[in-house]
Amino acid sequence: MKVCRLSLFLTLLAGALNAQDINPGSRLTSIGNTGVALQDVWSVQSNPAGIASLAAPAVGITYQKNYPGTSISTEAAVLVYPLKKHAFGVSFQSFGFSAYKELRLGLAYARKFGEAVYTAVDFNYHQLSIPSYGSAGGFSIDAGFQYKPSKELIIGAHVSNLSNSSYDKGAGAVIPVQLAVGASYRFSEELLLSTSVVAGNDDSGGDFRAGMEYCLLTQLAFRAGVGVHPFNQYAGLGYVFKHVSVDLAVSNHLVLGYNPQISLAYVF
Amino acid sequence: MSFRGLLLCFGILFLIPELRAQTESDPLIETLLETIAENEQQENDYSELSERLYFLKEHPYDLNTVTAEQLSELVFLSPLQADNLIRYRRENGPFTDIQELQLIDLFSWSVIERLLPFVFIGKPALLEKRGMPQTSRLEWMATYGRILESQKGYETEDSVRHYEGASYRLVSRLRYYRGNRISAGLTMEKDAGERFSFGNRTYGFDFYSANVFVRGGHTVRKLAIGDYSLQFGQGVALWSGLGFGKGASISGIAKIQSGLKPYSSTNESGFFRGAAATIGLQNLEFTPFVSFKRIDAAMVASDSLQSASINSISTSGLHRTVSELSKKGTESQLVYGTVMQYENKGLRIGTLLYQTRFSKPLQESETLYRKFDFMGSVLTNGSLYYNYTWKNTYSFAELSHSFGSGLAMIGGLMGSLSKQVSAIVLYRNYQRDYYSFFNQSVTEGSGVSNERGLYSGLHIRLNSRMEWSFYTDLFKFPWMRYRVDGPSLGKEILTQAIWSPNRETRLALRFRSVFKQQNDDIENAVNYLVPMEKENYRIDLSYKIGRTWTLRNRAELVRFQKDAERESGMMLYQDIIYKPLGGRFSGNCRLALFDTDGFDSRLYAFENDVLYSYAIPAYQDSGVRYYLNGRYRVGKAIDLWLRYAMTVYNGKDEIGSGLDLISGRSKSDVKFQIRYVIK
Repeated sequence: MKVCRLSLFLTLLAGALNAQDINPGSRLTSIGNTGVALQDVWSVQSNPAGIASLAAPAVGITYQKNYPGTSISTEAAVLVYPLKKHAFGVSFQSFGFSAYKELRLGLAYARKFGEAVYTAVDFNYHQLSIPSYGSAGGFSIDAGFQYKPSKELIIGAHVSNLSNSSYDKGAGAVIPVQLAVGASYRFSEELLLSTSVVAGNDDSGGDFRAGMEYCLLTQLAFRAGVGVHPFNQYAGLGYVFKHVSVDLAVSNHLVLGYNPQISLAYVF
Repeated sequence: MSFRGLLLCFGILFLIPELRAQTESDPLIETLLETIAENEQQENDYSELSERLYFLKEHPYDLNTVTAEQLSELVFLSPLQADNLIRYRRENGPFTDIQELQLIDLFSWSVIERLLPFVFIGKPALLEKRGMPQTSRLEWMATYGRILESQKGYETEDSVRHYEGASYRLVSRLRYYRGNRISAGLTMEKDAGERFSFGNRTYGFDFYSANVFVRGGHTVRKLAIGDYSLQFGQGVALWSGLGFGKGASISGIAKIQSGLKPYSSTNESGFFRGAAATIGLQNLEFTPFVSFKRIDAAMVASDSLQSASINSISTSGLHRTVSELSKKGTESQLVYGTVMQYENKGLRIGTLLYQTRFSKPLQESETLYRKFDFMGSVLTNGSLYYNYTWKNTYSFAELSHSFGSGLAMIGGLMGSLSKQVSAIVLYRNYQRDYYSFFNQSVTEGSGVSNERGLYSGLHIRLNSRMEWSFYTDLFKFPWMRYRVDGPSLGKEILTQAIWSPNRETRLALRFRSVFKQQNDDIENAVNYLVPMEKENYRIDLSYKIGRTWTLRNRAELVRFQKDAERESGMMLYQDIIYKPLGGRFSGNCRLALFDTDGFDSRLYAFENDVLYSYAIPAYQDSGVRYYLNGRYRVGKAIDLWLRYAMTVYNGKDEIGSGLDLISGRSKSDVKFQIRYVIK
């Protein structure tokens, strides 16, 4: 049974490589994973152009438990340092379990032009290690863009692995090329809606995602979202206390079940 | 000033000339019913709802006395809107001007426009209610319809398998109203193929339904004798008659109960026959009810005389053949119980308990997927429900238990998150051994049983011209179902955008996608499940030319895929609606072209019909369909309707199957209706 389950998950991982991809922290995950047109410290992971909007340095860490009944998990940490019009970001992510591990280390540079246009480029090192087979590495480049024509609206686009590079040693695994386009709109002080369309270079078809954040109090926010292909439902809540914010998220995949997640962030 | 005059004033006030009170088929009500009905993909009888809306249009509610429950009859209002209106009145005192509606939260222009025909502002209490004359109204309507081509069931006289009666359908409805308080109705129906004769246990028509209904008393708030409906809570335990499920209207997913109602539909099952009353003591309300009626059931042939039991209950109400007639009235059903509820401001809490008793027990099913179906002869249901409006949120839930077996629950939260955005989330969990014979709740399957699901929806009104709605639903069926030999799951996505650049033009785009699991097509005792996916793309356009003509178009594409099998289909239609102001004649027609690969890629479309009738037929295979509807007002009291519809198929020499088989490539039906009103 255990072997059966393991093999099932290894097959699913092939798909999960695309679905799982980059974890943008609990907040952006629970808003339907629509971070391409949102701005916070976790933008380093979803669309680094967003970090150019930050006013102060910030750090964040997250832990996600993937797929109930397995030991698979995701851990990630981000650091952003803004410098006037420029911003620098570092990200680290690990996904997998003892027999299968994916690591990703990213360095991002973002610049804003006026208060409306934000751009970024991101250099990543990927490592895939399966102890019983060995390990492989590879580099990729991401680019992102955000346009904020008004205080309420943000339009964003992000492409990951734009050179379509892959792991060395013919590892057989791919670094996905993915294009995300989206928009977010702040309807009121309390309500933020965000949507995105995401497509990859595999034949899984595109995904449409929508999410929202509703601030019940200035410190407390509720979030929810959906992705239609693959079908995912998201929910979460966040609490801000002075410089610290704690965010919880849970995503529910049609077949794979619930993935709970927790994130912490500190703004200097 | 008369109501008509009053309404006219408002019409001018809001610069909408077409809102003049008309006694005849009202385009506003028709559009309303269409938006409600088009989401339902089953044959429902909308006549009751339609009749009620037309009645309310002529006997509108006073905004200063209307209750939340009465507002719920206006199906287009969400519970949050209804409660906001009541709360506004509570906090700001009686309405003095209809313009005030615009000040209420969630009352956009389009909502007010729909609401206006059904409400007015009564004069202050100083002038006494007695000033309002109690108008009486007697209405008789008869409908005759038949299929013109000869069907197999009427030809083979000698065999046992043939229709006993003539091929026409005949309905007679008699209604009496005295003001808004007293009503009485008598409905008689003979379906096509049923006998119309007197004599040996036959009484002319095949179906009779009658009731007397009194409302508005101080203690006895409602009283029904005869046929009635009960709609309480979220419909998990006790809800008979029409109910709506998932649809493009996101807020419609929350059910608004209307309690005890008279029954006036021609649907021959799913109602109560007996007596019921709603008794009020301040904030408390009791609704005791009792019902006894004969129902149709298939008997199990048994060897001993004592253990007569039944296989299944039949709800079609059709008694055309020897076999159908043999099921008629073989079983009797006694239902009795009571509902108690408490209401205060935005809160309603209720509990109900009732028992359903059959004269002969239902037998255990031999098919595995029906293993958990109800068996026995007595079922007791108990339920707890509530709904509560707090600030900009509306929450509701119902928990129900069928004694000795399972539980079923539903709970939801709806919120208007900003002036433009509202969202809803709804969770349901119905155990496979939960039973209720009167339920109507949110389901993807065939009843409140064997289902878990999470629904979430979003509605955005960007401005008065543009709106967008989107929902997703995830559902799981823990036990097998018909044609599904194992636990299965699925999802549904619907999104719709509406753009109305002005009041005369409306463009709607809709996409719907459904994914489910179903048995593969290999002949086997037990089958594997394969994925099944269906996608619909729809464009609707409607525009007005002058005051008299409205044109409507729809183009729809469907793609169906099950395992390796693929089907696709399309439909395109043109509607022309002619409705002169105050003219004697009005009418509409449609020409539709359709081409689908088969049953799985069939398309549904709403069709206009004679007054109170509505149809949502399936367009399948390929061909042309058209219909013509006409209404002619003979005098003040008499109206006539005529409808002719015809479908001509491409490359077919037979239509339908079994006893309904028509040889030839065209099928046409005709309907004639007369209404006589005495005021």
